[in-house]
Amino acid sequence: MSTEKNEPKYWTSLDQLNGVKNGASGDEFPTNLVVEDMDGPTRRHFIGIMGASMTMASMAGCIRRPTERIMPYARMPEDVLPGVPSKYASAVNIGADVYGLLVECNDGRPTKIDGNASHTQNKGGTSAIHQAMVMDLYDPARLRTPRNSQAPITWEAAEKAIAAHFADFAGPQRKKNPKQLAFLSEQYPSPTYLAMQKRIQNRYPGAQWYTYEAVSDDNEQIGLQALFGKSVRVLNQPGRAHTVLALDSDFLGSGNNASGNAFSWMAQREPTTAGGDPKMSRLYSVEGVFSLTGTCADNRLRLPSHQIEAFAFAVADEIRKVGTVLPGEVTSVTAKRMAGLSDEAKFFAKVVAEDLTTTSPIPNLASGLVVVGRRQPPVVHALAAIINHALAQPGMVTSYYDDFSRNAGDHGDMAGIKALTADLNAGKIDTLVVVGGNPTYTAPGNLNFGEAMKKAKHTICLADFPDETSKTATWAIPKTHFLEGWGDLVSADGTLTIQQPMIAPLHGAWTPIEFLARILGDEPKPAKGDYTYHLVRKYWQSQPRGQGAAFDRQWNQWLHDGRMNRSLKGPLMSTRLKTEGFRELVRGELKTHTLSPTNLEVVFVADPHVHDGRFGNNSLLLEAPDPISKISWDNAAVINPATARALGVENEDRVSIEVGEANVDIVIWVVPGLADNLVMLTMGYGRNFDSYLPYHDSGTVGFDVNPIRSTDTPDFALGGRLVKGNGKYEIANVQDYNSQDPDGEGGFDSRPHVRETTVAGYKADPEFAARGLIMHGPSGGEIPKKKNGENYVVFHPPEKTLHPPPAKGAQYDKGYQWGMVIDLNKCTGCNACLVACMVENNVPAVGKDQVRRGREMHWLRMDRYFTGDEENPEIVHQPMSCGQCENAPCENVCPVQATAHSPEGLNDMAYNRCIGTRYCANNCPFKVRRFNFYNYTNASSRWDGVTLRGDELVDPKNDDELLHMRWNPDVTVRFRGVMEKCTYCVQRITRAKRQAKMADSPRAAKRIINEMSMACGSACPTGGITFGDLNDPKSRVSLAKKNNRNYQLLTELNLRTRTSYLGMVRNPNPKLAKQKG
Amino acid sequence: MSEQDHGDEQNNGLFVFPEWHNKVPPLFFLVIGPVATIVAISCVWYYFSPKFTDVGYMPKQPVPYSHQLHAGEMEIDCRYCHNHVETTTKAGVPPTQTCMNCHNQIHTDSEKLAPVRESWATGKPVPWVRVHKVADYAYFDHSAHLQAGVGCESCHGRIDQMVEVRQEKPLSMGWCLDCHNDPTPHLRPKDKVTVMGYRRTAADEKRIEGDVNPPIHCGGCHR
Repeated sequence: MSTEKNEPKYWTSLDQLNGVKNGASGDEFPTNLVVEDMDGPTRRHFIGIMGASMTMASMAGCIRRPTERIMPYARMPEDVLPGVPSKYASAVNIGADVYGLLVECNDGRPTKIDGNASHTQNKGGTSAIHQAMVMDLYDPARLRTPRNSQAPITWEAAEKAIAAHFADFAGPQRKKNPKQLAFLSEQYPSPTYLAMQKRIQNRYPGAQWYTYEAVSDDNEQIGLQALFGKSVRVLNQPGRAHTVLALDSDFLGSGNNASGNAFSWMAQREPTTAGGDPKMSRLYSVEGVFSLTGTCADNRLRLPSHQIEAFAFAVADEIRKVGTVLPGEVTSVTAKRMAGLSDEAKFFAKVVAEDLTTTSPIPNLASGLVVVGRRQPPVVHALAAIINHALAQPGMVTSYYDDFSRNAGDHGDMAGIKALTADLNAGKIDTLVVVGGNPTYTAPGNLNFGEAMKKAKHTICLADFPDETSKTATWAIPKTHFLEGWGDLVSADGTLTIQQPMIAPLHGAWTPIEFLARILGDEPKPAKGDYTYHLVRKYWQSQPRGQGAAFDRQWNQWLHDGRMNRSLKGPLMSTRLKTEGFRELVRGELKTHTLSPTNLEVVFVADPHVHDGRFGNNSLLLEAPDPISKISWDNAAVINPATARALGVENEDRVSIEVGEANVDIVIWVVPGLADNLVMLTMGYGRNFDSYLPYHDSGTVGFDVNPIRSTDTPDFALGGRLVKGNGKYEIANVQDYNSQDPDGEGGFDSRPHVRETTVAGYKADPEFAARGLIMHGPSGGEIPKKKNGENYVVFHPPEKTLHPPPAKGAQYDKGYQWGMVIDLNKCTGCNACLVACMVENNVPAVGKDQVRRGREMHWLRMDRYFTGDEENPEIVHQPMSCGQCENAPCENVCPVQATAHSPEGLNDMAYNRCIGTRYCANNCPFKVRRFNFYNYTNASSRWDGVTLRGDELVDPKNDDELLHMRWNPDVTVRFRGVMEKCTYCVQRITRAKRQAKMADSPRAAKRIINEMSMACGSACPTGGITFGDLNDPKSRVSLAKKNNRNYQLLTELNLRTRTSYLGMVRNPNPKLAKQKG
Repeated sequence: MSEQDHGDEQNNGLFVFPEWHNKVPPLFFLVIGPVATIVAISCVWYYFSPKFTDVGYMPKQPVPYSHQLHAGEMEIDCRYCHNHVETTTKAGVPPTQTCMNCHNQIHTDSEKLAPVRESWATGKPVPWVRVHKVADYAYFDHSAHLQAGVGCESCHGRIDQMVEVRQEKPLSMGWCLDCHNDPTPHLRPKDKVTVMGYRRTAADEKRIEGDVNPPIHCGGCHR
């Protein structure tokens, strides 16, 4: 270990840093294997016996070819080309966050989701969740038939029951009082749906409507309502500000509109050197947990969530000191609300305030922007709005829109469900209608919503799965997946999209709109055509310009474009905030807390993959590792090393976290970079439904943290205690076993995969990346003096190689030569590329046990490197996939030449030739080759012999048919014993080449080639992955390769990888450089 | 000692192999063994190869559709029914609608066409038996081949003379590579791809249609 504690170096995990081998993650290539005992029946003996009989059997094997059928259509739809996928536009919402999507359908089945570039919000980007949503469509665990108290009933029976039930509440002759009717809906920002909600409230006067989302925007709503007097949402364009302060905000990773924010922000992350010194924007992140935005930050301050309010006031105070005018309501309370901040935080606030108010060195950018995360109390949101108002013109960086996602008069998430629970417990509710969502699971624990729900005489649930809520309901009706039904959506900026189905409901289901229509009962189902289609169309026909033949043309155009050519009201342009509303938010005493190991802050974070739990059965998302903790298939109580030491716990220890009277059992995982005495808990795990999950030994995945969440403290709670439990719980962690040892401290050769520097360093040496040098100052911008008197931390000169490079002109200057560039500056680590690759290439999820052995099948993996101080490190993400090395070490060692090099530079993989020697994976220096240890193609060939289903409706063979529908037919599905790896999406390359060949002109052909993108590239919201033809000097990838930040990996091995990276440049504030000594 | 003896008596009860046994090992190892091995290998080489197992495959179809009548005598172009062959990877078997284009007026009562009419009425597809198949892990693209100028009969044979479709060529990887390694002798002008019984002209020997660059790397077909 290094004697200089402050010397920054790169390490992949705490285990590696502390020299712990084979910690929580198994070694992919273990060296301490046990030799098989040779007593008793051995493999040799067995094969000897079987050998003879197998020879006989193979001779008797079928010579006759099995009959295969071709089934054409009887009436073929126009525009359907067999074998050519068709793309349709739609949109989806998660809570109030709407993404415009383009869905690729093969043979009438949606198989791949991408972003719709013409949608103004997400600008063509998607997140890991959106990529994996297509799996949920084919999930065998979905509710398939309506049920009455768990017993399946027919659709006719369900329709009659609903109609009859609600007839009792309607009209002057009603038998029941509509005041006893309550609706609890998940958020569905759909104009048609919201209009129907109003009609329901008219038809059943007194019926209560509540909207509830566990991952709530309440705080922002309350804060902004105080300033605007009405329900308002904020939308930022972070790329238009030079300095951004993120207060407990993950605006780049999992906040609302993360993809749009990331796209905007990353535009300013290319260090521009026009006119002198390199300039870049700057991001400050102040947070207690570690979020993706924190990993992208140039300067980061660890501060527990409850102190961020004080920090915000400190920033306001400093802004005022440098001359910005803030309203009196703010300045009069600032000194009081700043109490309790440490000196370090106060200094940080001072520096940040200066930076926020300094004019941007990059022209046409605002000086600063403050972004607040959804967990912060309303006062912080309001304060940020006031500060932003002072820093920039309204609309330039920050825009406010009416809240289109809910009707006026909505109670808000927590207040709403609290009121509903009170009504239920008081026995006031006769019928509770749950429209989507899973409140029994997601409601805060103090409400005990499951028990309360039982007090309603009847409950009707529209649900995806037989889940915690729908299993206790009187009637459960299957809900459509968004790919199966019509609908419409409005995004935060008012952009409207019609949701169109890609496939008819697989098992029969109702959309939420249809569900409400049946409850209303006044709009009968049309004789022909889809009910929801009829309703949505009718709604838009009732809007202005909704009549006549022009409407039909327009409707088709909307469906084609994926958005309407009109939007709901534009941004609010008033320049005056009602700052008198601010007083309400600062009423009351500010309580200061001192955190300690017996007084912990417990933070509830929406899981970046399962969100609030609704994707809890999606094996792709569960296996995709959490970007910060790198845990797959579980969640954990994440604490930092200092806290772990103080509490005497370590990785995988079972513990119990107590808040107030409630507690949860969970497991510890240690990640540096969190604030001290803070526990980060991710929501969405520990689901208890008859989960399909064939990949997990126990019935539940992870731990449910909702019991200690309460309506008063849904975001973070103070006064948490940690009680040690019994024994250990195995965690599947994907980070360590790839043996990438960045700076050689672990005993391997130094492999500086990540090249990083600061702006000052980049100015000193623009070629820093290509020369194989790691040069990084601690966050603060100083370049450290180093061992040999040179300015580098690790000096690794490119060695002279024994293998001369192939002469130019010999092989690679004809035809297309494919290459890829990944920009580390733009990578937020969101895992969208990882999941997109799995969906596109039929990559299986293997389950927790196999992940623990290092056998996960991610073709593109996300590596996480810590750097700097053990307590307060920075993180760099690096997506790593097969680099298609020109001198590939894997190609030489295959005994059967299953992997060969193509003349276009790809390292081809012929699965049918592979005999499973795994020598190629052994030789790969990046360990990107993945092996199929088991047969992952069928649900019915369970390899661990554990069947989890308790649901009698399911038949494994039937499951196979359903799961196979999600395969991409253009990619071979690999069987057991076969090696696989990234192929640069050769199926997309082939398709583009074919289209280019048939194109009308060479220019059209070139455009087709240039527009082609890989699954990973098209999923990335920031455009961090560029792909294309290297032989075309004007292609984006050729230009990217000319960037002086470009570097290849392991050049001393002369691999000549086609995938290269652009070194990361951070822009830390020199004033915040760590004090030496 | 060339005595032939059955002589237990003469050899004190010991069995002695007859003289002619001495010729067996050399006969076996030098003659019979190699010959038998060569024969066995040759048999497997040929009889287990697609040339034998697949060529001539002529399954019974649910409808006795005769290409000889439609494509041969009536000279309907291949692309009238297999109409995606120039634009997509799969040529496609025509939907029932294509058949009914004519047969809702012609032979409307024919017994042989009963399954077609039933399919048209019920919407269920006619379950044709697939004749030409390449392995699932190999991806064949019709449009690329037509773009290059490969004629239909080069791979499918004289369909216009077949009453029942049978596989004429082995469609094995080796056979595909024979052409991919040297495509020119198999190419013809793009407007002549559906001509049956095409005769190559002198001009064809020299011309290569467009930029014909058939892949011979693994990734060309295996993905």
